[in-house]
Amino acid sequence: MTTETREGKGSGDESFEPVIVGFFCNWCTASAADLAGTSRLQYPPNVRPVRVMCTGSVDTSFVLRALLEGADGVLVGGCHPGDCHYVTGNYRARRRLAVVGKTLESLGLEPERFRFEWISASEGAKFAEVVTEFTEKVKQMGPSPLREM
Amino acid sequence: MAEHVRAISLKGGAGPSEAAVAHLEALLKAGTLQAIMVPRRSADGRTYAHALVTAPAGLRGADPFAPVMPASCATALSRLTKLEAPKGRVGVVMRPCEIAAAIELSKLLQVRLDNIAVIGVDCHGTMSVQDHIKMRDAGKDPKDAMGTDLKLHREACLTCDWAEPQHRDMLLGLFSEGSGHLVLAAEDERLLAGLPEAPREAVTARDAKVKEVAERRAKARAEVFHGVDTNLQGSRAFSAHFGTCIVCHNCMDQCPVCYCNECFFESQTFRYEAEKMLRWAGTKGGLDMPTDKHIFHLGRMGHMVATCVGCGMCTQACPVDINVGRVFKYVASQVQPMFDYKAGRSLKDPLPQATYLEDELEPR
Repeated sequence: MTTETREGKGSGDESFEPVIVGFFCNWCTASAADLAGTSRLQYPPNVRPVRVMCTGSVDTSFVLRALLEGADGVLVGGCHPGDCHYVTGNYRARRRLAVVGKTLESLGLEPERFRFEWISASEGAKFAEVVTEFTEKVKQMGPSPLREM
Repeated sequence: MAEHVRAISLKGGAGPSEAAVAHLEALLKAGTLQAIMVPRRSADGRTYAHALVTAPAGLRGADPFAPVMPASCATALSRLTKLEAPKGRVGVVMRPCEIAAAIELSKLLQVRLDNIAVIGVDCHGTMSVQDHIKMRDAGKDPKDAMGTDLKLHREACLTCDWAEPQHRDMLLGLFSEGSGHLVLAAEDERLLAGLPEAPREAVTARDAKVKEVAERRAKARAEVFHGVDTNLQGSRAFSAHFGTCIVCHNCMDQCPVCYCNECFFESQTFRYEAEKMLRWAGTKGGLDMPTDKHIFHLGRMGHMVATCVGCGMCTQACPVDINVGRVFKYVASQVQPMFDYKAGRSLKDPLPQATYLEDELEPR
């Protein structure tokens, strides 16, 4: 596992604010993000959300592209099993994105920077919790070395 | 139904290649097969290419056991059958890795196996086209050289997943050659054209060789995978491994299971305004041109590694000598078991990305 980081901003650097790209399903996680906001829940502002119509539309290359082009983490949020608006999109996404996770893991490319969660439209609290926890984790890991590839 | 096992004696002085070609010729003459696709010596005699042959004269220079594999026969089979299956029966001579790729392509609806007789060959392995040409030019026999020097074998062959051809309609059992016989096997007796029963020693010799080859390859595979697992880790190692890449996409072009008419990585998605590239150049400390080298390799893995058969055509096609196949084969060996899948194993196993289970993987 590589430990290289950007100059002067090693892991544990308190001033480091990670950039996290979020791919959120229109029918669940994107609404959960709204709910967290309207409920005045506090969570770190590090996520740059991208609304997608279904996690089933998230290609493996979306995740890789984000990581290679400067994201320190990628968070994908979709509907719980059985709740997909398009019936099976989330199951298909899980298979497809498992390939990315395993590819990164096999090559020591920090698979921990990628996370996939089920967050329903009513789970504003879970959204805030996942974002807080993931941001903290990526902060601990420091800037991603993948952006320099 | 069990295979009938027959043999051609090699004691008259004919080599296994000549014996096999004579048998194919007999099948053509008898009309058992309307055509045969087989590796055939190129016009300059320095390498081989697959040829579709409908008359015996076309078999001149053919060699089912050619020691070099410039392209996968699965690609040629896709070209032949994509639009329609042939009306008459066509025999297609394939190595085990080519059969595996054909199985994947069939599931991807890129190959039709109707009316195709898969003629599977025992494969000693192949050398690179470059080595083959060098050897021919130096007046040496590539086959003889390969027999004594494993270093000449392509890494994909040394680490091959198959010791004998699966899913075959007919076997050309080269591994029996030590016994002075070429073993042939098929369920359909017509493909054996009245050959005599194989002597027991020929079958035993072949079985022993298959076992030996399987063990040798498994060992080599474990060593190569261990090398990737220990040395090819992290972004710096990855960048270094693909350091000489000129983003020509030849590896994708020659990959038998990369079948898209237009590759996503050649689409307009990857054409940018100058301003955008200048901005990246600023943030990345200089932008490597052509762009998108890493997203191409990693993204291609994401797209096809679940069906990668490890044939190494990517490495063979690379003009700047990158061992692309080593990385893909290793990642495939990690990814496919997640879905209890093995590319080329079965026509019945659904493609991993075309199906799902409700209770599997993460998150649950």
